[in-house]
Amino acid sequence: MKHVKYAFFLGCLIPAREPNYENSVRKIAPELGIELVEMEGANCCAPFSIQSLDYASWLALAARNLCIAEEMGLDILTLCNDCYESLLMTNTILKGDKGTRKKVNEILADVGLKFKGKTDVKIFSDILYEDVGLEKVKTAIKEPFNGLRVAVQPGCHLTKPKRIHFGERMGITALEELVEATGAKSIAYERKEACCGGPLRGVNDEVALYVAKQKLDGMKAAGVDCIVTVCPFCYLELDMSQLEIKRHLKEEYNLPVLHFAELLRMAMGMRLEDWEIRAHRISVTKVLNMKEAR
Amino acid sequence: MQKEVVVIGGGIAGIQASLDLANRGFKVYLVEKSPSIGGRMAQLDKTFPTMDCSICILAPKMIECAHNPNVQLLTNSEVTEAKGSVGNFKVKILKKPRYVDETKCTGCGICADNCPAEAPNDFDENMGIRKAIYMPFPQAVPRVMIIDKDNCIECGLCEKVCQANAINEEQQPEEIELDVGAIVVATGFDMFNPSVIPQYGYKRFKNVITAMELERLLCASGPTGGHLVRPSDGKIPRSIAFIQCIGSRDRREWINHPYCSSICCKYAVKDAVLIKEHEPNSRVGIFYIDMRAFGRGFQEFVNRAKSELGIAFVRSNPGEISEDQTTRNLVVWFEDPITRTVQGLSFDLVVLCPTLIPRKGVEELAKTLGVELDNYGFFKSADAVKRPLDTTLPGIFACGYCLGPKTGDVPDSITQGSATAARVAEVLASREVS
Amino acid sequence: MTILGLRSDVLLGPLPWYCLSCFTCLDRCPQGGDVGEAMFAIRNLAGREGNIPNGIVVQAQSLFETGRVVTPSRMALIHREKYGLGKEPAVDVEAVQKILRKTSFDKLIYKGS
Repeated sequence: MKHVKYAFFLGCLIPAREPNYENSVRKIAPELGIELVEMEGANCCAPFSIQSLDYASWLALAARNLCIAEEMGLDILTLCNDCYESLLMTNTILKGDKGTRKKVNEILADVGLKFKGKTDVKIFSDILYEDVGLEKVKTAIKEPFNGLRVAVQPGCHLTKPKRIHFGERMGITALEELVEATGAKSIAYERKEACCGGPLRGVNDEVALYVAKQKLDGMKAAGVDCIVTVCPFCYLELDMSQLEIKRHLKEEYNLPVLHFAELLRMAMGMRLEDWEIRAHRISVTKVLNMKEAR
Repeated sequence: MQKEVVVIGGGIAGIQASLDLANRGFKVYLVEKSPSIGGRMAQLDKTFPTMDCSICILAPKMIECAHNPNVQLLTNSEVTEAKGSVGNFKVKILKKPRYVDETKCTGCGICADNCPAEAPNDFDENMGIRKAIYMPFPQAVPRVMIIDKDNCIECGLCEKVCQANAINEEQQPEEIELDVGAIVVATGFDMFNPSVIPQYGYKRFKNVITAMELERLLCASGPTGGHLVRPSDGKIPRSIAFIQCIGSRDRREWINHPYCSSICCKYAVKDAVLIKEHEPNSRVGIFYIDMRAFGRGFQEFVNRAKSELGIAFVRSNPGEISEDQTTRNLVVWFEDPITRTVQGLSFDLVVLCPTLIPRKGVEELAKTLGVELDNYGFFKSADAVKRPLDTTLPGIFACGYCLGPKTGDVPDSITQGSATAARVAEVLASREVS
Repeated sequence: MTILGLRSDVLLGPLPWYCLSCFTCLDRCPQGGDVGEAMFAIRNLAGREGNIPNGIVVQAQSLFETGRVVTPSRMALIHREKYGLGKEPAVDVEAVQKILRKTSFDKLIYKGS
């Protein structure tokens, strides 16, 4: 079994709001031969909000995390699309642009770090597909879902902007094949690649909700049982928005949102704990029941 | 100096070059990869500006090629080697087996009628079915059947019913060696695959088709007998959208076709006019970035299309196409250039006009011949201004779209074919080594 | 709009903060135009003119003070401890603040500092 070892970049949102996601990842990683090594002192990746304020601050903060991984001699495993975008873009820019790299290293010198371009940034779904391998994941599935209809929410930053993500093979296709490996079915729906609205949550709630509703409408129209996300922002946004829409517009979707790691974990024969079940605002009982009654 | 020429590519440009050279007394070997000459023009329905039936103009030239004593057709063949220099090329050609004897087959088609095995029809852009033994298209030259061994189930029925005893299951590939004085490349174009731009829904939505697929639907010899019906339900579309510049004028790294293909505006307006004249009550719209209506009669044609026929010309490149899952109708999302708002217009059928790219396999051919391609894969001219029809290797010339999008339509390809023939004749007739 | 002389309308208005940074624009522009990236630049400039939504300020200040844009809720901390996820990973806040002081980030997000 190929042993893959990564610098584990948790980001902010998962420890802050979604420890259930972290728990699922930690439970399935050893079963798939993935070793997660903590990144000491790692800071926030500097997502959209920070990038929008100051480019230099973003690059420097993101680069600090890249330097930590470089010193560990490992590639970075991220769970969050936004962290992925921030770190991967920084990595790409600093590897390719000497002038910018010099400026960022000048800032990093203050904290005794230097970006050398020795590490790579990968997201969990791509790692499962490529480094662990789809076949290996399939052998770990002990209790497949029986045709559970899933709306896969890949999230924008999984594959956009195209020029820093390589090829079509990884990204959405990888994610869908992994979902289908669990026995679920990835259902086509309108605007699958559209944004969930997450980045503007707390900034411009009106827009965030409007965008989320478009996604949910598309998913509902396609007749799915649940939603599966990679990004914790998408998870929060699609979960929370359903409650808000129910409250304000009296419209219900009843689409439980599951982290992709949770889906895998259940398919690998592990049970979600009570506190994890309760961590979903839209009840996931429906999905759990579907699994029992096979 | 040999007075024989190999022409690679049996499309209109190659055909014209071959005929011109043959009529000047040169012996021409017309090598064509597919089982019949004709190329793209054979697939079209009607050509601008005369709106003549395309194959009706082409077929007489194809037949002339077959009958001209100075032209030898080598179809289902490819050039595998080319050594030497201008005036003295040694060319090796691999003639792939048809499993049908060309000297015996009369093209009657009884074998195909009895053949149980089916396969998608490449000539119809895979929209129709053909048998494992088939005539490439009704006007094919040479008029000989061919067996597609990949789909043949080897039942032997064709052999049983053939009255000319033309089936030859044992036919072997033939290697032909030729000594020629010059080579002409006329390999033409392929259409860019719009699946690379996923938001237009090509291959995901049944009623989004390419312009070549439309031509096959409009053409009487096509899969629907010339009736314009849409793929999802066979209904006649009452509203059709054309979307220009799919992949062309595109600088994104993964697409990299920043050039304008030259003829898409022309054929789109042509097809739009054809459709509107056929179904006056239909709603036809063309979504474009620029309407490149150059040359003789084209701008007037566009004006007529707008004012007399009521075809909508919308100066907007749509961002996305979505599909209604029940009706399979499409909504084209675009920014209305006048109100500056995002609009969605519903259409029964959407025709994408993709960029035109070099034929598949052209890189290998260039290597075999030892000529250079430009960075888009088109054949490079020895001098883009002064010697546009010479390739980078003296003695090897080119004509037609394989040289790049600077060529326009059928008359342009014919012109280039003749011009290249003259160039070849000049080089071979004189003692000049260019 | 800026080219039309409406610079302040752009930078002081709400439009820059409607962008979701989904990068669809960047992928779709046939000119390979860096529209998405330009939006970030516009927001950087808008920020310098004082146009920053409160939600962003909150995240930025949290980042400066704790090294995270959002800190764990009480529930999240309880769950961590109760269900074996260990302590919340610690951030080297000093390093973060050193970096953000060097880039004058603090001046941007704390008015009158």
